[in-house]
Amino acid sequence: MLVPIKYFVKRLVTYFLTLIAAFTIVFIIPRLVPGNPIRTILMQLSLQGQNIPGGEEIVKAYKKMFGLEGDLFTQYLSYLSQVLRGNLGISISFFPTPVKDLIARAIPWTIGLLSLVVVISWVIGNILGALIGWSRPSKVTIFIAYVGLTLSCIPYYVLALILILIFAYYIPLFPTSGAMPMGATPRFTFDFIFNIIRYGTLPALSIILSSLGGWLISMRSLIINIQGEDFIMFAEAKGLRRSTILMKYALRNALLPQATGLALSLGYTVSGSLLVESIFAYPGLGNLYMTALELNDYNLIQGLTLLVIFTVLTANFLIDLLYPLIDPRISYEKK
Amino acid sequence: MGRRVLRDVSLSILLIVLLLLSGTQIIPMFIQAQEYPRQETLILYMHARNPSPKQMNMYLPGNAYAWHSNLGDNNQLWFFNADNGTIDMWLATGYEYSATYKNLTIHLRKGVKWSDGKPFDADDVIFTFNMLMSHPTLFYATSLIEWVSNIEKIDNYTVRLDLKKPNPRFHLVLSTVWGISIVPKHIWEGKDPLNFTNWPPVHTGPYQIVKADVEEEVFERIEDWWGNDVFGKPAPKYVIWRYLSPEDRIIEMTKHELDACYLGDPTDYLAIKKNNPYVMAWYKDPPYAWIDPCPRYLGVNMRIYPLNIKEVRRAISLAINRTKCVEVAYGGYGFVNPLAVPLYAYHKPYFDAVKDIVDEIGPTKYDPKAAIALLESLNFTRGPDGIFVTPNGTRLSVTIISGSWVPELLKLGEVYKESLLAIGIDAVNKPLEGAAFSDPWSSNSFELQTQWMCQSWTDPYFLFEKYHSKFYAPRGNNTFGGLNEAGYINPKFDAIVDQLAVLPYDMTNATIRELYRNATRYLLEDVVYIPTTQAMFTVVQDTYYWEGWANSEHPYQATAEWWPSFFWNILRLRSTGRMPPGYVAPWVYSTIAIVVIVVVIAVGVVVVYRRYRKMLPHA
Repeated sequence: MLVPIKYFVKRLVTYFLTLIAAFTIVFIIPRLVPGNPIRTILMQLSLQGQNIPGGEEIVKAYKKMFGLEGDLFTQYLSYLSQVLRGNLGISISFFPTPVKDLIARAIPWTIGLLSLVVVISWVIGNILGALIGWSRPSKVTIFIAYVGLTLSCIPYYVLALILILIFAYYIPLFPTSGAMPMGATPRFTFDFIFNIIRYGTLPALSIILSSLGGWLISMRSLIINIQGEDFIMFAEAKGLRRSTILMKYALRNALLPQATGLALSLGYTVSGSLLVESIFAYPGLGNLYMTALELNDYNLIQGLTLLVIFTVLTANFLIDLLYPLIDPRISYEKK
Repeated sequence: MGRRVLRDVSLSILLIVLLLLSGTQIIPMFIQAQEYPRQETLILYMHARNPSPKQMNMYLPGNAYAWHSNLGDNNQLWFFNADNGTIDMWLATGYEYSATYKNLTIHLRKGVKWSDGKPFDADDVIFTFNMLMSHPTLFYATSLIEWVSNIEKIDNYTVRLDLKKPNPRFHLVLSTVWGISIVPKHIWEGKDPLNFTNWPPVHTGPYQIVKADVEEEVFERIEDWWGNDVFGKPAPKYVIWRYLSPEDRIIEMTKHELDACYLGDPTDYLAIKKNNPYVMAWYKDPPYAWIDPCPRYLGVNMRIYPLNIKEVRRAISLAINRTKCVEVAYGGYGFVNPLAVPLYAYHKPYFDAVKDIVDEIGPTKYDPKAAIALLESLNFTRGPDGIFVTPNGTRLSVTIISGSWVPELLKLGEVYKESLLAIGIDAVNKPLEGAAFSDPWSSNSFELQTQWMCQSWTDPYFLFEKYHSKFYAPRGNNTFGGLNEAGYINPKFDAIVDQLAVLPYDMTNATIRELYRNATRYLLEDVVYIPTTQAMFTVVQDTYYWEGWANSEHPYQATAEWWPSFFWNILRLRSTGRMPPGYVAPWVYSTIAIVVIVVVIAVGVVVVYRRYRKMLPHA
């Protein structure tokens, strides 16, 4: 069944309008914050004892260089035309490095860590949620449900600190921070990959433990609701085994909304996990975001936020298009 | 049967291959990385990430060159020694002023080579200065433009700078702890310095970068460095800068995985020392911490009523308990500083010269009753909530901006707030960072702000110059670097500063000493700033692998690893010869691996033989 043209065009127009509106907001907000990014850098240097004489002249000259002169509308049009040509501009704080170079350097770490973590926590959370939702209530299922609920309430950065204390300090099985061993050069060898996994374990574990609780609870609720459906009763009446009914009937229906959630979560991974990356000194987008905000680097803030907006909107757009194809109960047309 | 045999043999071969592979791959992972043996590597704390790790143009913002600078790669002419006030020569061997202080002749060191082997000489110095002067947006450019009228090459190793006006301190403009980094003409000529990333950097230092990453930089010693015969060969073969979070610094130092860093306060140092007896600080005993060159003070904006009233500023000063500031901000390990000039020995002649003024005025005196009396003398009255109200009906309230990213500033802000509330001033502490912190300062729109006084560490003259009215800007207008943030205008004070501008820092000269005294008196009497504490930086080193660090007993140089002058420490380090804790020689692991593999293969052969011996012809 193909996507109707009318539906597709409507969604596409909404997609672009939302993108432009978001771009506009992202452009305006950093500029509302008092301060000038160049002056911030020079001020920080002067606080270190490095007095940069004539800093005010430098500030004026850089403002001109970065197109920060002129009224807001002129700056907006200039930046919009730049972005449409695929140019996110030059980082003000790390001049003359282009914003996309900075993002390109950080993105593999974030996507590598977070997308894997999201999928792992989704799989584990859904499996456990399905099992405890499907099984008859017992002390074990209730215990697992409570553990899941508790973990989902603990902020992941608190879990991160606890994991460092236990597994990097008292029982030093894992490193405290970083993405790879000190001095290591990235190469495609077994020991390098093993070390990448080893260094990523604690950051990943902190996010997995805190987020699988949410998937567990939601899957459990879905399974419990589905158990009362007619098709489940029919399957039981047919004499099918409980495990077969779970795998082929209940789970397949319950996974539909969970799949939507997974797609949205994956869309959000590019925003990085700021606190975890900060605690573990992981060189991802979250850390880059924090640096950009501290230094009020307009171009970098805009570039990163645009990336997040783009991926989330695109994920939503694709789900909107594909969901009716996955779930026949959902139709493209209004009824 | 055939399929079973085939399956068993295939599995056996697979097992053997996996064992062999793992033996060659897994075992090395547990062996100390031979690439950078720990006992040959100096590991230092990198204070900030390098989002752009290969941006090595030291004259552009956001460059990652700082970690080069601190290893002797900064190509400075000299370094100001913050601990003893001397000038340590580096690429220069000396300098001299003319009698009028309008000319500075610099003598360059012979035999210096760039890391690509080319010689360093006057052409590089002149090229660098000319490049800076023709590009005003580069760091340090405007100071050269402001002062230098002409640059003359006398010979290959002598350069003369002609100044537009006399300046006996111009050598400090060129270089203090940081300074102008001379660049190689043969590399930079023809490049646009506003876009040139200077990667890989060519420099005169003893360490070459081998890896630049967002959170790490790795350097290897240049074995034929020109300075080996002059300064001695640095002992560490490798240097690694690592970025770590605050908690990780403590953990890594406990595990001997970090050789030098700074900590929050001495309590962190003592926590490490419990588990690592090899760690050391500047002082063996309290206060442990090293005296930071930037004393802390409370900046006051005189542009705002009623802070423009001297008695109000004096009342604020009297209300602050500096002893409590030291307890809260430094865990009790610190000092009160009445002058905002660092308590370094080479400033003692100045401290002695102004001691009577300090005793008379009492800039750090704590007397809340006197503070209240002062406010009442101005006809300020208490409201029903105990907060003073000014004669024009304004509630006496102030906002203190404190630096949230520096724990001591944050804590100082809280103490100031409590102190002012106690005497009836409605104070709010706003912890801020980044642009939110620096912009009210730059735009002169703050009311009270916690700050560093970094101008005074080389010479109190720079503290005086800071408050010259030539740097005054109205509220909302920008000045850079906090120059005259107070908005102080005093022609008599300006006249003294103008006289001192052409006189050296010499307390043995009666005229100069009297000028320094008079300038100090004006600043303290008019409460232009409110001095509070001598900042203490807990800079620590681990002597497990490396010893010879500077300390209070051997204060040859500051141990601040984020300063270019830190390199003098590296030059004096000696290896202790210790191996990593739990170190096992690689041959032991290899032997174990071989034995395990042989045993597994032997067992496998025996199992297969016993299972299939009936199939053998002679069975």
